[in-house]
Amino acid sequence: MSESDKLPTPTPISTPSLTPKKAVSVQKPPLAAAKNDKTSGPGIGVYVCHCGGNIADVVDVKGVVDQASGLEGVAIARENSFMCSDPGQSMILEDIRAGRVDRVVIAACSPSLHETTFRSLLVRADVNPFLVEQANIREQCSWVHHNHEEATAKAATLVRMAVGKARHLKPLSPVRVDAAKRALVIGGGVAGLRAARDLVGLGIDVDLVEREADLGGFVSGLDRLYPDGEVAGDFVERLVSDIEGDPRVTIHRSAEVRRVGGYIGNFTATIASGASSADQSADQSADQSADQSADQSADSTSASTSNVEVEVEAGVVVVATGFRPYAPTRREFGCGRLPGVVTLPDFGRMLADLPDTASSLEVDGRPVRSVGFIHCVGSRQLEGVHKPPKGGTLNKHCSRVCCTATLQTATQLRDRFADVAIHDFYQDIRAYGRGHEELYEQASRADVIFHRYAGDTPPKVRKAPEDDENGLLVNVVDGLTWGEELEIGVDLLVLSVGMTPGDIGTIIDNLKLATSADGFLQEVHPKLRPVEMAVNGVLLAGACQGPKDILESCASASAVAVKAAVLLGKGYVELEPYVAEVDSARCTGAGQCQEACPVEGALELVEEGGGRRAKVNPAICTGCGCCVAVCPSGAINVAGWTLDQFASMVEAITEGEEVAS
Amino acid sequence: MATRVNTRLLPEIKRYGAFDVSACFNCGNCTAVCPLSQDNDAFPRRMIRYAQLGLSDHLISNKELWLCQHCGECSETCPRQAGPAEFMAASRRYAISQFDPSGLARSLHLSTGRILLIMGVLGGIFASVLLWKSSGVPADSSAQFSTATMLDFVPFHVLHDVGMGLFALLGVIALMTLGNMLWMLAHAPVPGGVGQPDETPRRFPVGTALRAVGLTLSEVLLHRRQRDCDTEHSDVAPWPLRRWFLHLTMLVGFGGLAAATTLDFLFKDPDLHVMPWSPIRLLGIVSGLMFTYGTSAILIKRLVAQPHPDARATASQRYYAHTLKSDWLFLWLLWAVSVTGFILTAAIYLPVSAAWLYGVFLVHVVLAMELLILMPFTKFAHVFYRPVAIWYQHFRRLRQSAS
Repeated sequence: MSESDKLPTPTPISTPSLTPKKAVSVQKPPLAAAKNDKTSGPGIGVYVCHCGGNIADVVDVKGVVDQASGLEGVAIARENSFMCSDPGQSMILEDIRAGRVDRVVIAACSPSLHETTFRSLLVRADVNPFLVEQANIREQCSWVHHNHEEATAKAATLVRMAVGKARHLKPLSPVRVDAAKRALVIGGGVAGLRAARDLVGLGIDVDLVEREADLGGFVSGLDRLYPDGEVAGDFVERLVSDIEGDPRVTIHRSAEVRRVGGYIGNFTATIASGASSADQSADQSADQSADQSADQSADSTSASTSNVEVEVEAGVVVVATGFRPYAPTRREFGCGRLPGVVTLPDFGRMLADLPDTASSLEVDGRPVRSVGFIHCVGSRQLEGVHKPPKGGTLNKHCSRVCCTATLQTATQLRDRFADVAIHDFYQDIRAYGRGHEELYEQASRADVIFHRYAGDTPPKVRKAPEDDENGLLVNVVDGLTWGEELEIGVDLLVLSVGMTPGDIGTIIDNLKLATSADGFLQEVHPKLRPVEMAVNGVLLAGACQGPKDILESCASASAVAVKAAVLLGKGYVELEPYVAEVDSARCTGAGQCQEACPVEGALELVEEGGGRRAKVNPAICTGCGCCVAVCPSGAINVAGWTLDQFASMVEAITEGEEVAS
Repeated sequence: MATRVNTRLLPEIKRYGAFDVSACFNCGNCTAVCPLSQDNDAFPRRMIRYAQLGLSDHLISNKELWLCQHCGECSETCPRQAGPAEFMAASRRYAISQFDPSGLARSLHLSTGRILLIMGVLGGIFASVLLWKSSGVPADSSAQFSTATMLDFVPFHVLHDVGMGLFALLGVIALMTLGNMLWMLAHAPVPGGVGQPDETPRRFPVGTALRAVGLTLSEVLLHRRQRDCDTEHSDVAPWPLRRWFLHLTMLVGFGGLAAATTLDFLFKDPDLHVMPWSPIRLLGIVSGLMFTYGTSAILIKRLVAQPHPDARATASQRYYAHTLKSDWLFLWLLWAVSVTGFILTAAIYLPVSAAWLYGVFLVHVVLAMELLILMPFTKFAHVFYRPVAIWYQHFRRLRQSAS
């Protein structure tokens, strides 16, 4: 039985101005509604847990129980070796059912572990689930203290505080918001395509926005994909054909998200279609073939002149904006300065464009007899060795995919040209995935010669003298050769560039998204909530979250689709009730609260009953309490964390001090 | 000064039998498990790196090449099945080819056709020279087969002159190739570097050098290293069939035969019939028996061991899987010379007379000459190189501990 089954049907309340079409409801809590005053009910039950010996070995549980039983408003205080166990829960259930208690204080572990356990217990007892308060006497007490007396005194204080707070507990209800069964997918690369396909499969319609004229993103520009050598174009084609022509997917090509706002279930976005793709590709990579961008602008000429803006709604926003390949500076390995120095994506295109019958590779009309690959270009950068870009930071992260991509490209090169010498300059080969290590061995067996450099002494590249058999000379201090300096002649030098965060400032600013130190988007928790942003309803797919290969991007995209289905499946979403509440009778409309509010649209001033009054949109409010702090008339409180409750808790602490002195 | 890398050496060495060495990713497990790679030695890993980088001089000038006894422990341990033991063997073959400027050794190692051609041509020349002044097979077919009748078939002075010429030639070639090796050893880089020269030798310490010779001799005669290797084997044979014992039998047998032949030549009237128990003849007979036993046993071991390219093969299975044509050439030559010698000796002391015995005699002499003259070009060359490398190791160690 879930909590929501016990909750009543939502009563629609007046809609916030941000999304006039959507219904937001705050339910009137019916359970124990009359008993919101400590004096009118049976009272508080305090339940102190031994947690086996986890608590009882340090804290005198009996003593805590004795002290608690004498506190104001406490009807019963009991102990149990495991309060979360069936016997422990039954004890509480019986007390409630017998009418001995109507609100509960659990003194046990951290609420992050068992708060939901005890909330559902209350639901089973037909009591509002928010009438439980947990005192953490394990993590915050018994686990970190050794002195029995002091620990017991602290546990007693914590329990006293919880009781103080519990006296002011009121029944609360989750905020319910009607949710649109639509998703806005930003980015039409493999992650976005995969997410779109899975979303429509789960009954969620999709608006897919792609900046370029063609779908497929970075992968569409590659030659072959590791580990099995699949042709990149074919792979993208399969993903695209799955959604193209599907009426449930609206594809916006050469389009950009200009503005996006709202909250889970009710996002709105402005999409500018026909944004000139030539402009965008220019700032991405200057040397991309000119005719390609010319083609694109030719295709979208009509659109770019009209530059249509459309507004779409979405229940969730899927950010699948991918990454930007690192662009080496002219100082790095002579890229852009010396002939024959290219990036790995460029080299992939060179191979793809080469006719199958080509018997040799050429650079500037010069036959290529030797090819070098340098790993970690733009990845794993070190302070003092690499220079960050203007206003940017070093890329300290490992880009993860370049090792295997390089090995795959090297074996592919060997397959086509048996006589070319191939050198691989690496720090560590991180061939971590299934089939990757095999590629490493395959490259070795194909006579790729490996040279290992240390991060603080990257290889040096210079032009070879005229009479040299090769065009470029690479010098490397080789860890495999006892730290000796080696000189290697190459005609073509391929830089395995890493992944850097994409240019998505607008989306980050609009949605207030968190980025981690490396500049990529940061999920709530890497293991527990890997595809969710802290902003409810914003989901992450693919390499915008950090370096990922295609397999990982597709996996996260599929996870995103399922997560979206979970969030939107019921047609509404439930939010925590800990949001600001305005006491209209006390509100003077001073407006400081609105200035202090850090979340746009969470609080506004409306005309009501002949004056200005603050009004909270509970769907957007994060319950931070900034407004509470600045209100001159004390008219705002955060539900469940009211000023009364804080006062009670502080009082409970000082009471203890008096006793001690 | 940076060392220039080229990728042409590795494919060349692969042809000498290091078929899987490309798979090496320089982990060093081979060196870690090697029972012989000690102190500053770092074979096989160091040798493989030289090959990967195309540093031919560094590879062949390194004494460590000859310190390996091919127990196969490293190949069993190798995580990539790169066959480091086979690589060491291949590098020795390559080194033998490199110390010989004529290109003959390379032909013998890489081409079966050339092996047959060279053997045929040499055999033809030797046979014609030997039979040049022959009185032929005795007309009286019942005449006892003896030293005297053999020398009627091939006159003593012809045998003597050809032999002396051959030894002189061998000496020149051997000195040349060995000189190559010694020069390279002396200019080899110190362990731990590819670009650094050896520390400048001060006055050559004669005493130390002689002590190193003593250590080398005792080590070679007792086959200490090979025994160290054998104890590591997972499939140890009974001692009369172990590699170190068979090799020792061959070595002692060969040495005994060489001594008996020299003494005969110096002190004995060629026509004189001596009894088997005369000391020199006894030495020859015993040595011959040992030599025949050793060569036959090793040949049989190689023949019955099925080639096993499988990665999970045991050390000895792997060892025999990589027998190249040039290895077979050397082994068959040794065996054929020892067996024909055995037959001839037996015939002298048995009441037999048969025309085909003179054929056996001719084959024996021709093959023995081929064996000798090809010594610096085949696997036989290790008889110079290995003791020199061992001596050099002792010499360096003694000098280092002295300073």
